[in-house]
Formats: sequence, C-alpha cells, structure tokens
Amino acid sequence: MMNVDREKFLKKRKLVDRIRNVLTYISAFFGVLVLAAILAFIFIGGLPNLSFKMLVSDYKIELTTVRIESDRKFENPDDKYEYFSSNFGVAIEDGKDNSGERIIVIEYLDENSPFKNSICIDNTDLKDSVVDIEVGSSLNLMMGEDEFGVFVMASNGDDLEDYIEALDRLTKIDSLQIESQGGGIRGSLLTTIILIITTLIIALPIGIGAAIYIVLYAKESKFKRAIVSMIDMTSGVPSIIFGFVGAIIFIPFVTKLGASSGYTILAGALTMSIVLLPVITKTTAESLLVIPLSYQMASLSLGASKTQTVFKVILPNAFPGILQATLLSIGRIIGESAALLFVMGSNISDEVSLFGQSTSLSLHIWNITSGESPNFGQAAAISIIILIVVFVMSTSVKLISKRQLKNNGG
Amino acid sequence: MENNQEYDFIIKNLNLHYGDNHVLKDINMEIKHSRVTAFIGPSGCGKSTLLRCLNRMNDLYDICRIDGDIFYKNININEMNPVELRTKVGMVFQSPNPFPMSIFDNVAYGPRCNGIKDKATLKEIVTTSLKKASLYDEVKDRLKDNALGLSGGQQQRLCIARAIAIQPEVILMDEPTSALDPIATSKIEELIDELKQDYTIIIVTHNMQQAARISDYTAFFLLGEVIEMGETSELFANPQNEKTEDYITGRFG
Repeated sequence: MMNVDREKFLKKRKLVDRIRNVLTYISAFFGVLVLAAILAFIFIGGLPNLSFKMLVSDYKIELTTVRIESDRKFENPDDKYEYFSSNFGVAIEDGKDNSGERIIVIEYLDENSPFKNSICIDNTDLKDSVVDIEVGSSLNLMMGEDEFGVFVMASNGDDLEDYIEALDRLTKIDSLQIESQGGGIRGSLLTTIILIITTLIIALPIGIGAAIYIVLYAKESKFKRAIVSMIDMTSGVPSIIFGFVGAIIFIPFVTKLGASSGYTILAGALTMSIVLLPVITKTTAESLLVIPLSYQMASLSLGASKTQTVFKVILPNAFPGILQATLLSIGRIIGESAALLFVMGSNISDEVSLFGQSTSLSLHIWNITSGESPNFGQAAAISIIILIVVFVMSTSVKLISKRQLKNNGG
Repeated sequence: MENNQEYDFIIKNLNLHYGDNHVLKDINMEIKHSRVTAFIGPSGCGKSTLLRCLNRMNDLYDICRIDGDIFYKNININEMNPVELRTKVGMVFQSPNPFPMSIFDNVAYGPRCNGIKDKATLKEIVTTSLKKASLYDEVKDRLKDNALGLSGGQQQRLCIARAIAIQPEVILMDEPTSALDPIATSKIEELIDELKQDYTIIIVTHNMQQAARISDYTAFFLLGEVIEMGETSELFANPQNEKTEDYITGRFG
C-alpha cells in the first residue's frame, strides 16, 4: 500500500517539476527573445545609416540657388558614366543624405564644366559670386527654358534618367538648387556633451558635499533620518515631475540671467542636476561608508583636523565610488528625455551654446520620429550611438567596482 | 600632587558611559613622565577606552559620555583643542592601519597636516622618524612604494614612525602587537625599549609577559575599575589585591 502511494507521489512530483522547469525556460526564452529583437531592430535599421559624416554634419539643409550657362559640348570620358550631360560635362548618381533620404549627387565634373562658373542668385551677401560646386554636391530643383522656349523643370524626386534628360535639353539653367547635406547630429551631439559637463559641474560638488555631510558630520537625529529618507524617496520620483518643476523654476531663472529664451542647455543642466542629486549623493555616501574607520582614527590621532581628514584621506579613498556615481549620471543624462523636453525642447539646432536652445540626442530621436514622415532609420542609428555610450559606461562601472573590491580585499 | 611636573596625565574621578553601559567607573590615576605604563586586564575591562580618553578619540562616538577630569601637564584636556592635544599625544592602533599611500607620504602626513611644507624639512622628519622606528634600513630604497605592500610588522613600525613624526611627548599604544607574529612582536618591544628614552609611553596589552618585560608601571583593570596600580616589578611579584593575583597567575582572564 505504502509503495503504491510512494510511486504515485514520485510520478506526480516528476510531472510538476517538469511543468515548472518548462515554464521557467519559456519565460527566460521570451525575455531574451524580446531583448534580442529590440537590439536586432535597432542594429538592422540603424547600421546602414550610421556614418562618421552623420556625426559631424549639420541638421539643417543649406540651399544655394545658382544660374549656369553652357556654350559648348563635353565628352563622356570612355563612356564611363551612365547619366552624363554632354551640355554641362556633369555626371550624376543616386546618393543618400545623413538621414537616409535619397538625393542626387554629382558623380563627375569635367574640369571645364560651366558648373564651376555657377553664379549665385540668392538675395544674400553671396549674390553674383561664384559658388563652389564639386563632386559630391547634391542637386535639387532645376528650372530653365530650352532652345524652343519650353519651360523645363526637374527635381531630386525624379529618376536620374529624367533629370539628366532635362539637363541636356538646356543650355542655360535659370535656377538650380545646390544643397548641403543635412540631417547630421553634430549639434545634438555637442549639446549632449555640454549638457553632461555642465550638469556634472553643478551636481557633483553638491552631491558629494551632501554625502560628506550625511555620513561624516551629521549627528544621529530625526533631521538626519528625514534627509536620508527624503533622498531615498526622490531617487524614485519620475523625471517628468522634475521636468515641469524645472520648467517653472529654472526657465525664468535662466531668463533672468540674460538668455533671450529660458529654453536653454543651462536650464536643462540645472534640471538634470536635481534629477541626479539623489543618485550621486547615495552612491557617494555608500562609498564613504565602506572606508575603514581606522583611516579616520589614524588621521585624527596624527593631529589632522576633521576637514583635513575628510579631504586628504576619506575623499581620495572614496574616489572609485564617486567615479561610479559620475558614470551612472552620464548614462542617465544621455538617456533622459522626459525632463529635458520641458526645459530644452526638442528643436534641433546647429548653433550650440550654453545660453541657447538646442536639443540632446534622445530628444533628437523624438524630434525626427514624431513628425509627419518619421525617420526610423536615422533614429535607429542615433540609438546605436546612445547604446554604445551607455554600454561603455556600464562596463567601466563594472570594471571599476571589480577593481575596488580587489583593492579592499588585498 | 605637589610634584605635578612629574606626571604627564592626572586622571580624576573619571566615569564613562557608552549609552546605558557604564564602561569606566571612578578612575583615578597618575601617569609618570618618561616612563612606560602598561594597562592590563581581560577583554572588555575598559583599558582601551581609557587610552582613547587620553587623546580624546572618544569624541568620535556620539553615544559616549564622559564625566570627571583628565589633566595633561596640569591642563584640563577638555579645555584644550583636541587637534592640538593629539599633536602632543600620538597614538598607535591595534591593527596596523597605514593609509593607502606611499611610505613617505604616510610618515609625512602628520607634519604636512600641521603646516610643514618645506621638502627638505619633511624629508628629514621622515628619515629620522623611520630611523627611530628602526624601519629606515628596510625601506630606504622604496619610500615611494605603497605602504600596504609592507609586512604586518613593518606596517606597525611604520605607524609608530608616523606617530613619532609629529614629535609628540606621549605615545599611546593600543595592543600594538596583538595582530603580529612573535618575531615582529619582539622587534616592536625592542623599539618601545628604545623609545622610552624620549617619550612617555602608555601601552594597552593582553599579554602579561609583555607588560612585565617592557613596562615600568602597570595598572590592572577589571570590569571598568582599576583594581591595582603600581611599579611593574612590585605588582607582579607581590600583588596587593586578590583579584590581581588571580589574574596574573592565570586563574582567569
């Protein structure tokens, strides 16, 4: 009788164990799958658009309108170029700008091509001067009249064949738009860097100071406990709340400082400082707590004042913890979007200054994907850059923590 | 009391509480100038706590309450600036605790904190301090190396050199050999024997043989009270109190 029960039990247990194991495997598999899918989506979409040129070029497209006249014919050298204009000595090809849009670029330019004598017709300082057109310049809207007085027009929405055909019907182009390649993220990248530096300059001294006060100076009291629990609480507050508080406080403040508009990098840095203060204070406080009391005792027993002890013995030993706080903060600043939306806005600008409006990489993504024709390709490319930075940051945090453990152990 | 110059420390009616814990009970004691005084007694009897009172290290603990008076050279130490007091009364701790910096910087730390910046002066202080701590010959070629690379005994002698470097008059030693092996211990004991020419030394020790070997005066502590204090030879040969006798003959402790 007992044996039968035991066998039944064993069978049942085997079944239950198997079900549990399978469930665990399935959830683990789904977790990994989702992560892998996200990464794959970003890398597949982003890699083709990722280029060094994107990092260093401007976002805004600059247009120069020129007129060009031709008085001779040109040879297609060895018939090498498929789309060659014999009137102007120019070959064109398909290209892509930084944001992945199709453009028409100059593939070849004869050395005597009239394109080299194109005259600017914009109403700017450049008017009537010669515009520098070279291989790689991109062409857009072209207008002119052919020899029969028929109006001819082409733009970069046309096929190469149509464009070149239109070009060869003309001997005199009344108006041609030469475009600089836009869609770069130089401005936003620079903004992010300035934002990081300014935020750290503001937040690190305050955060480290607060940590020193809490750990080394504050006496056990209700006040200290209140501060500590407040810091714990604020580190969990959603950043969007800091964002609108920042908008209410810092935007008028920065305007008072003399900026023409409050939506500035400085306001962003001030807001991010508030977001990061709890993180920096907590991380630094933790690293201060693990410094052996014997260092402090030794220093004091040698006739050093408390302040000397803090700055000569305790802080240098807390350096790895402070570095960790810094790296965590940098990751946080790069990734932040909600809070910054309130104080910096998502307007992409190529002119970056502390007291000027421009936007960070995260908000750059938001900007280019929230319009009428979202550009997911470039968004993915920027995401790769952000991911790389965050990955480098978290890896170095791990390395530093490892080294810190080693140092403490040996 | 009429011969006050003879004493470095005079302790009067000292009581110390850690929270609700009465750690030191009504201590009265005089510490003679330029002698080695040993505090012995079982663990938790308050001898280290009393030592820390002498350079006001107990100030670090919020829950510590001290009543009674301690006079250092006839000045109440509570009226002295603790930082000033500690430059006169140096301290060596139970386990070697050099800072994680170079050997040179460890010894130069105290003088630097007290405003000595001149490199030549610092170098001289470091050299003499290391020589006095009989460590100089072992480390003279690697003063720039990290102090944590030294052996335990060398680290402890470095800590002694570090304490000497601020030119104190009294050196407090809190079980300085308890973390060391016998050879390192005997080196430290020899060192103490040399140092007593120049400094008043107060040493806390668990080891009665050590107290007998190196000290001129011994105080026996039990449960926060001084049971007996006297010349070491006298106390060990002819203890007046029964508890002292029980302890030094190894019946408890």
